[in-house]
Amino acid sequence: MSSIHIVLNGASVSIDVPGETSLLELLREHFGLFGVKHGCETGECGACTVLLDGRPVNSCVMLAAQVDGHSITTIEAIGEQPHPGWKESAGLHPLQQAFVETGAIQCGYCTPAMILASKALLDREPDPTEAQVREALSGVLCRCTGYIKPVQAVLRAAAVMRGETVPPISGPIPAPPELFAPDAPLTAPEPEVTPGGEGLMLTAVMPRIKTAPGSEPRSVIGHPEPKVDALKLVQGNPAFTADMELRGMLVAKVLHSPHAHARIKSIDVSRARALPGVAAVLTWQDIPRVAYSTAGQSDPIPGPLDTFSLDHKVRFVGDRVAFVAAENEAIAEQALDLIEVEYEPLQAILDPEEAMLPDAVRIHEETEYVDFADSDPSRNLAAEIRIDIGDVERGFEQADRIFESTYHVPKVQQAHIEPHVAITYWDEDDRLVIRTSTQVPFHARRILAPVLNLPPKRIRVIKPRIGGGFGGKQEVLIEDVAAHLTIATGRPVRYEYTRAEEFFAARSRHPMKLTMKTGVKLDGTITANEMRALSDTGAYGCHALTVTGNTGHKAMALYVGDGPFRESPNIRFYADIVYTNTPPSGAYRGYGVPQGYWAVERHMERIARELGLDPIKLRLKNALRAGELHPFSTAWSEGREPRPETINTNGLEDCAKAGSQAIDWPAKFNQPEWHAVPGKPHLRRGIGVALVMQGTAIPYLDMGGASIKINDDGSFNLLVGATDLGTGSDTVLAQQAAEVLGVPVEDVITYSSDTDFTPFDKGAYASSTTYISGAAVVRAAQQVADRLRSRAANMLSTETAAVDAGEIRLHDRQAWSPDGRSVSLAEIALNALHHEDQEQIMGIGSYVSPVSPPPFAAQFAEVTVDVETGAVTVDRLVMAVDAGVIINPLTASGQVEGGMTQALGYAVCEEMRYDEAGRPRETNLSDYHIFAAHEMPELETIFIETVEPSHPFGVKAVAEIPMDGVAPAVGNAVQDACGADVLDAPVTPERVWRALHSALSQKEDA
Amino acid sequence: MQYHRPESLKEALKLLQNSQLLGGGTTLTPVRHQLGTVLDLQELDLGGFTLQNDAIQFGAGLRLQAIIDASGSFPPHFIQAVRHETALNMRNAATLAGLVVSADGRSPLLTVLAAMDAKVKLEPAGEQLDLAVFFKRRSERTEPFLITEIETCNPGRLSYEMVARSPMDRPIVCSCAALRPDGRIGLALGGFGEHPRSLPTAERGADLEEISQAASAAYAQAGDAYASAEYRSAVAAILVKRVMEEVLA
Repeated sequence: MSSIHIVLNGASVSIDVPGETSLLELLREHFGLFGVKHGCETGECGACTVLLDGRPVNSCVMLAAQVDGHSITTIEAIGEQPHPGWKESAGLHPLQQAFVETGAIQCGYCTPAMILASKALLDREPDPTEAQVREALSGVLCRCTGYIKPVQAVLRAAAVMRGETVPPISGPIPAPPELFAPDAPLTAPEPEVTPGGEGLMLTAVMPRIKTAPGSEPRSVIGHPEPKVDALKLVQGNPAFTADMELRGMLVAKVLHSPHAHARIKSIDVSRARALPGVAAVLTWQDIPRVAYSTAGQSDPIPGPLDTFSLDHKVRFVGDRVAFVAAENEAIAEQALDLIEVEYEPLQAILDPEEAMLPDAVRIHEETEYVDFADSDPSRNLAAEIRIDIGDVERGFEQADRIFESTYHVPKVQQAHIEPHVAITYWDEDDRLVIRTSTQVPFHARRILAPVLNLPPKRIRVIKPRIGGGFGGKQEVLIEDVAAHLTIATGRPVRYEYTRAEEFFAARSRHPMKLTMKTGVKLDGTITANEMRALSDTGAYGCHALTVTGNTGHKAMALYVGDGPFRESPNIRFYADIVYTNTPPSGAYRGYGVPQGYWAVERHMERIARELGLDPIKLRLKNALRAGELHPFSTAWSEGREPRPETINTNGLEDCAKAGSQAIDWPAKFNQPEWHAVPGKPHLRRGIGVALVMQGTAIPYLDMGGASIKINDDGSFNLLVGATDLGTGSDTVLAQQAAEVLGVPVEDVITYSSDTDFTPFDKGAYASSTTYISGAAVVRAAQQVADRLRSRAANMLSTETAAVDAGEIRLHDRQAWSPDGRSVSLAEIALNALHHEDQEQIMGIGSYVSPVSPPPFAAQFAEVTVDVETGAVTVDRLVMAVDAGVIINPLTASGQVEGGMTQALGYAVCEEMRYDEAGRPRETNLSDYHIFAAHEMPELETIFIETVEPSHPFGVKAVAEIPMDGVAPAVGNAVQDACGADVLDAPVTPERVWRALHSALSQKEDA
Repeated sequence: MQYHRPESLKEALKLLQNSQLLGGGTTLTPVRHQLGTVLDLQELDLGGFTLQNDAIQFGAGLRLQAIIDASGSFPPHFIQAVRHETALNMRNAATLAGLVVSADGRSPLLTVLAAMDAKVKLEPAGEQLDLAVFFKRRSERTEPFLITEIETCNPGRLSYEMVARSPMDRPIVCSCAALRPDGRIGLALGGFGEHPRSLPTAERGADLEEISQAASAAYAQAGDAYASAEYRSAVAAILVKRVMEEVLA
């Protein structure tokens, strides 16, 4: 044991702990300071940041004993709840206040760390530069924000602490007219930021927005409301799954396979079970054998049932072999070492090209396998898609030129900073409670019930705050492990992935080989377009059909052709989704679409260059327009019956125009002087563009529910099944309710995702929450509003003058009659709940959409390429997005900034690779590099609003589309810079270098 | 696991056998469940650095961030390599000796130290080893040792270049040239393998093409999952030429 005496958050404390206790464990497990988060075990993510003698350090890579004699500060000592009842409060620290105001918080998992790191900076440098702020935040990785708003929050807080005046963040700030005027001058927009300067500090966190013509200003919609969950997150309150203690809780660990493909001949767990402190060891022999899919999707799952909680065969390095529950992590790990497994190694398939060869080894031979549609395990085929729209061969015959090329996209990781984590326990009614970091709580309950041999009614899934998901938690991935162990032991169990497990045992983006064949007339008219995809689903077929289906459904739908081809497009999309002995692929933000756009948009760029056409004009000439039929809508719908769908709104042309103006495209594209870097002949600048479209929910399938009830004080409880995984959906749903009810957002108390208490929602995926769940919220709110108006009319009516309920207007917490009299919502609530004709004013709404209105976007990129080494520096990204009406410009622009940053990694550095035995190259966030605050390019977001008629407020989706265009825009910019024609993502230095040498050789040959 | 915090070098050396030395903890804490006895050296007076005309003595326990905090004392490219080594939080904990003991060939700072003719002072033997010899010693791990100091030349000029997938990613290839007090130029390559490669020192009038070819040859077999040997070999030649030109400019 080590005796530790420290000053912890200003108080002297002493404690004896085992020598191997880390500082992170000391703070969380012994002192209950849950504001210190676990994100990795090797110090790369910084979620566990604390201040050691005033300096930020990572507590996961420091022994508790090391800090003996030192001072430790955690987020719990920084600021406090401003209104703790009768007690006086110093309120939030200026940093916390600024993080709330600027929208710097998305999932909030890294927020305490960012605030502590920033505090250390401001304590010694009260007037920092942006570069200093970025350096201070460099040790804290954020996968949500793109760092713009956190950086601005720190600058804003610094100004406040210097005594300067900061204006409120209000808006929206409309885009300057020159961005949209037909003959606009080609100047860059004025910068929004004026750091310092005459005591006024502006904060540049608002996007530019071009509002839709005729759109009416609203009280709440369109305003940068602070997130409804910001206050708890900025204080580091115990809001996340792992932030709870239960008496007797066990720690779970999983023994993972060291083989890519093997049969388990025998397992001896006797030594592990005999180890003191071990409560249970489970193998495939101990639990029911139930085939299921881990894909968190609606019933019936559109994919094969090919997974077991534990099996007698392993199919990738990292597959499950046994579960252990023990009193602590060290004992659990020791127990794993004591399990003796005899494997019979089998031939492994690591290359998807080999999966369907006639003599290929079969990966799934289990008799329990349940086919879906065209899955065929005898050919290692998880799914197959064959879509022909129009007459593709005839279209090719009508073309002047045929362009054919093959592109590759890599497997990449979601890398949410909060790992997968679940806690399970029996409640007092012997119902199994599963507290889990999931995007799909209702699907999780339905899917787990047969696996655990429990009816759904005996399972309660609670989704607390989620520390990012990005699709990785649209998977019922680890809940069964903890649940099996709770069933086995009767005790609470916590299972949390390590960062390494996230890489070798979680899901990832499908890698694909994409072959494009496009027929084009010399004027740029596309006559036929074909994509053939070979998609690698890894060892299991979760999301196999639907991810790859969306590759075609979205990416191949954008360019329909022009003239008669626009009337009747010729499009082919064929895909084979094959099993290999690699970790399973799954859902990742964009859901197959970023893969498709890498191929489509690189291909379009090459066609434009080959034909000498303007790349933007070529794209717009062939792009889908409003009023046209979505070409895939009659061909495919996620494995269900397709139904025709017309595009109602499309701001793509305006997006291209605004983005082009913002990045100053005409002054750069085809301008030789701009491409040169003075004094540095080895550097070349380039500019690139990509146009993209996504979808908004799955039509006729995705359903969200909401209920709203009034409280005595005129506030409301909004209960939704929708799952805010950091996106701000709780906030934008509350805004929609508040707009209908005529109250400020703070009067709408949002509670989301508890299968016992909230209405059903299919969960957070497919860019659906603001649109689908939002429409459900509006319906529920309208019911409540009707009752409020009715009661208000009665209360305001007199014997001589009756007030018509239909004329009552709800505004500013009051119900107003046409003659200007009003009654407050609190008075209505008291009247309804206590005084007369008592009733609970309550509304319930649900919504399923017949359409999936696509958002559209134009993505621009500027790069500098070192033509000697191939190194690429991305200097600037500009994205102009038509996401319908913007409910909250802060959260929406945060989605775009964070999405572009993830996509930037997809463009240049993120890639998961495996050796010849199927072992992963990347198991940490050092080898798998994600962008940090001090290496970011300039980011800019522009919204081009359209009013989507299928939603009460006109919204479309914004969450996924930022993933789609960055990689091809960067690839196109690299080609523009130096001619390097890179066909495989990411655009690494070596790939550019090889492309340059290839181009040089071709030039010399010519 | 047993944790000790010796208060003197003598006490530390007495406990050295069968112990793991803890600098900042950034390398050992992740594997703490596999450790027996740990000696935390924070009480030893090993944290400073001394600048002389020809040499710099870095205390083994110097935190990496302390170098940046004293950035005016060092060439800008040296500071750049420290920044590139790891982010702020880790620099506040990690020590220079910890880096020298554990970093691999992809380490920017270790590459720069190699070009700066770093020597590692070890106890209990009291010997001072060239970095290249030390790398051999650390891989063999025959006898326990405790680093007390890392001494480098005080370079008149220093240049560092790297190629990576992003501005702060670990380098695929990096190179450093340091103009040493004796007028010769120390050269090193990083981005690959167990440790950086020192190249033969060069004179001011040396043929840059020859030096580039030597760099290319040094990485002729330097292929791994991050880059092919062909690429590294070609880029090593380019980067070495660039750092030489900058140092000679």
